[in-house]
Formats: sequence, C-alpha cells, structure tokens
Amino acid sequence: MTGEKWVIAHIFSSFNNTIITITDITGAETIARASGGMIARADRDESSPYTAMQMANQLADKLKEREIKGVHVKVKAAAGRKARSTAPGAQAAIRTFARAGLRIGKIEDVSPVPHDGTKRPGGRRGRRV
Amino acid sequence: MVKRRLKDKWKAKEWYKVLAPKMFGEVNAGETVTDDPANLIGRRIELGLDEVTGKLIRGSNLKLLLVVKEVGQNTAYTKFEGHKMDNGYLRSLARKGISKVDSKVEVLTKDGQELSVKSSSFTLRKASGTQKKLIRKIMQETIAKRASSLELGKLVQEIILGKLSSEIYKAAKKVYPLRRVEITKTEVK
Repeated sequence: MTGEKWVIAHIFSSFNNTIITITDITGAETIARASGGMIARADRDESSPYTAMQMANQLADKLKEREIKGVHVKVKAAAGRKARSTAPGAQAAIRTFARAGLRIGKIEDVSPVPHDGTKRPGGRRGRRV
Repeated sequence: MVKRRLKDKWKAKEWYKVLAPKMFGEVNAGETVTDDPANLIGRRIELGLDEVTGKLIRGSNLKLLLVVKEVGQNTAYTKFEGHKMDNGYLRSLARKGISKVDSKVEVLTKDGQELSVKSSSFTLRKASGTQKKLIRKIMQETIAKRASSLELGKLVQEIILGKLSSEIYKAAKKVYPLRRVEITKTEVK
C-alpha cells in the first residue's frame, strides 16, 4: 500500500479560501486537488481550518490509493499587494497530512513578493471601518 | 461523472524515474507521471543539496534546477540548468547598516558552456560607493577567471561547496571587511 513516491502539495491559503493542488515533483502533472468550495457550504467557511482539514483528509486518502509516501509542501499566501502571511488553512492542512500518515518533506514558502508595484488600497490613513 | 473520467485518465498514466545528471552521480531525483513520454521533455525539477549528497554539506540553502532532456525506458535523464539560493536565507543576511553588493557575470567555462553567475557580498558596515565598485569588480573577475579554467561540472561543484565564494571573500576583504559572500544563482544558457 505505501509507495516510495514523493509529490508536492501546493497550498494556496488566503483569508477567503484555501486551494490545495497535489502535483508530481515537476509541478507539471496534477494528481489531485481540492478547494474550500468543494466542502464548505458558506462562503465564509472556505478559508477555515476545519475545511482545510477535511480537504487534506480527502486528498490524503486519494494519495494513499495512488501509493504515495510523502509530500513536500509549498505554501503560498495571497501576498503581492495583499497579506503576506498565510491564513489559518495552510497550517491545518499540513498537520492533517502528517496525521493521515503521509510523510512531510520540505516545507517552503513560495508567496509571490513584488519587486514593487501598485500601492496597497486603504490610503494614507488606513481602512476606516 | 467527473470523478470516473479522472480515474480512467489516471490509469493510462505511467511513472517515470528522474535521474540527476552525471556530474551529480546520477542519483534518483524523484518520480514524475505522464501518459505521453513526449510531454516529459522540458519539465523542471528542484533538487535540494541534501538529496544529492546524503546530508553532508552545510545547511541546504541551495537548490539545483534540473531539466528533463531525454526519456528512456521508464527513466528520464536531466540536464543541469542552474541553481538558486533560498530567498529567505538571503533576506536574513541583508540587514540595516551594512552594504550588499550584487554582481552578475556572463562566463564561458573551459568546455565552452555559457553560464551566467550571480553573486552577492555582504559587508560588515556600510561601504562607500567606490569600495562597492571595487568589490563588485573583484567578484566579477574572480568568477570569470575561475570559470574559464574549469569545466562546467567542476565549476558547479566549487560553487556548491562554497570554494568560489570563499575565494572571492579572501580577495575582496582587503577592500572592505566582509560578512559573507554567496553565489546566489547560476543559469546555464
């Protein structure tokens, strides 16, 4: 049942959604994927850690079926002009992978960092709610 | 419906072993999957140093970039395409009150391979413009000189083992005390 193969889990985690795409190590071939909307009913739940956990569980089952031993993780935040930090979904997903019996290899942050671009919204005095 | 279609596609796919180039001892770099072997060519793999050497070299801030160039019987053979250094590590070196000197050189190795080498030096304190220029010149000259006397494989090895950067360090610290020199990136043309 347990294979020798390693794959990459690309986890995009923003504050509105979490998207997990599992590819082979070249990143060219998708093996499985899941996003918040496939599980959560309400839009606001798409980014919650519980949803991420369910997604990761589903994916882990699929990966075991396909004889995969472990995952390298590439975490990406919304970044760019938006928040640079990953939302709660990422951490929950990684932990669930580990709990489900998959080996976790390298964990890397691949958030896009601008070499300067447009200004962040909100203006000089910040967002006034 | 969608699920069933996906499963059928998956069955048609086969796993291919990816081997690192000869200069890294043809270690197993991982597996990739496809239904059409022709698709494999041009795929790129990032390989950590620890995977090549079996955890001997200081931390793995380096990543090798390998590109599939040939496909055999269930194996794919790769070519070295360059290396890059972990962004987070480089950012941890850059600090307030010091100077960072970047340089980029296009070099020709002894076996006629074109290569661009990017490197950064970090000084202990803020250096003046002239000092930075001098350091940059030394960096470029040292790299070009070393590259022209070595074959690609040997040069890459020197870069990975940090020999080239320590050579720059020795030469450039006469201009201004340095904290660290790193070869941050190479690209094979």
